[in-house]
Amino acid sequence: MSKGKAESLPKNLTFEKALSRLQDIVSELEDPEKGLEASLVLFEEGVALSRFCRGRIDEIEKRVEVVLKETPDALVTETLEDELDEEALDGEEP
Amino acid sequence: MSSRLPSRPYTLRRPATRRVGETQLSFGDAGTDVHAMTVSEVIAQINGFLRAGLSNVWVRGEVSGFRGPAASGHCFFSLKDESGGATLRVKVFASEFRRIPFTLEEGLLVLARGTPDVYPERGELSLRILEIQPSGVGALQLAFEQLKARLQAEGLFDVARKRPLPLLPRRIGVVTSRHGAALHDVLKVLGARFPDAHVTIYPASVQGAAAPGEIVRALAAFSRFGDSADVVIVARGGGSSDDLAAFNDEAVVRAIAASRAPVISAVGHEVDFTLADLAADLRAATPSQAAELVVGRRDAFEERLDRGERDLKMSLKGRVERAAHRLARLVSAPAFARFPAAVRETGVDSRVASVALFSSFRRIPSALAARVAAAERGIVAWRDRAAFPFLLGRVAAERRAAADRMARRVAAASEKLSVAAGRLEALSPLRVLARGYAVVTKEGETAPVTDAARVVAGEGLRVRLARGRVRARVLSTEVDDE
Repeated sequence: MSKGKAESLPKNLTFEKALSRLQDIVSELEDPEKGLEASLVLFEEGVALSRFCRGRIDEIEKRVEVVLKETPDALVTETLEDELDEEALDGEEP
Repeated sequence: MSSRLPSRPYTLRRPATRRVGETQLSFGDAGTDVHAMTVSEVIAQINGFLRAGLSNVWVRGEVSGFRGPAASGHCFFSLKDESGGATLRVKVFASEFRRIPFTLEEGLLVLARGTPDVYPERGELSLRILEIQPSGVGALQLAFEQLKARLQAEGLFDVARKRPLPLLPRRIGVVTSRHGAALHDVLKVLGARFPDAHVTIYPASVQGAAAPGEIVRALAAFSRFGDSADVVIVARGGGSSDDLAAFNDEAVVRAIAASRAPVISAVGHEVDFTLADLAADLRAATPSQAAELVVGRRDAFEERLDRGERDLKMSLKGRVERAAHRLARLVSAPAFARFPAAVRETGVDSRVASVALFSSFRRIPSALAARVAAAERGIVAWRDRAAFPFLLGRVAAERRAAADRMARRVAAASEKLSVAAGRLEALSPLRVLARGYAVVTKEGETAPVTDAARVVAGEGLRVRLARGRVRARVLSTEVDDE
């Protein structure tokens, strides 16, 4: 049986596409003409999209880093610990 | 310089080589006493006068006959009075020409500073220009307008080029001074809106001679490492200085336009638009505003998702309730009611079915899609079987199994059943009878006779036809071996 259907979401799905599709689904589901079976499929897709969006929000890791230098294949960065420390950031230049 | 000339002995008495008839051109007693100068001496003297008297003059005139620099890199053209009455040749040497911040154009009114001199080989007077600026507007202003027009013509500022920002950037690139107010503002706003933001800062000077190169380098780095940022803020602290030069630098403007990720410019100037602003995908007046534009509030996202999920559930719940209601009506429909008892005894109970339908929908919506599909197939099969009276017997024989199946199928049935309602109507027993079938019962019984083994020769039977009844007597029986 179909489990969650998350695997059927498009590979290149973006957060904004997912969110806008979710809203489309909600309004589609409000159409009384929509068949129950079709509604179930939509519902499942909606749940998968919602899960996808939450995943995207959760997977963003809190991090503030500064680029120290570049190598041919990467940016070498250093994490800023007190990124919001007013003292540390008091600007001497604009 | 001129004082040297008389001291040259060979100029003092030069043999006269004049012919008769040229004498009237001479002054005084002419002839051997004249102080004749060579051409180069004259020119040298003229140049000396010019240097003494017209050194570093400012000349105002229109550029005329401008054809760009020659192969040597030097540039020759003329300045004309606006009234058109006078023309002065000018030359700009390559080293000076390269330093002119704006582009010389035919007809441009300019102020040029230089010293006129005569080029000995040609005897031509020209002004050697050391500095030139547009008349009326400042050189930088003109350079700005010219660069703007050029980039505009290239389409760098086209609205069609603007890319949408990602709604939820996974990594936010920031190009700004490492210790500037801009960075502080951006991080402060981001921290408030989306505390989990992933920010990568590429430090770059935002003013001074090094700024353009550093900004270009940072933008290029974010483009080169594609996953390093999916939106880039180029920021400069607000209001502290009017030096926006870096943000009008052609290389910076081009780097912004070429950036792989969309760029938000935040030059920190409410009024002036820099070329960087025009090339950026989005302009923010201040770094704080850029941070607001770059990502929505996390709680707003979550609220939107919550609402979406709630609406999803509500709409499905409503739909299932409607389906259950329709199902309840269906199973009590006249067609159903008139159906042979054998079918009804399969145990279909509309209320049980509805409740089962509803609760199962609520429990595992995903499993239901398959159930609904199975139910659909089941309904078709059931209809086909019921169409033949001899199969009705099997319905009775399979009562228990059918009861279970039916309960499952009906429990999962969707409004597909509304289609089935029409079909049921068509399959009403009376219609079956109309097609020539008959229902046979024993005298005094209501259950149809479906098995020859149940009757004996001579026994009385009732035969229900589409119209009317027949009483009959069994002559003999043949029992199928099964």
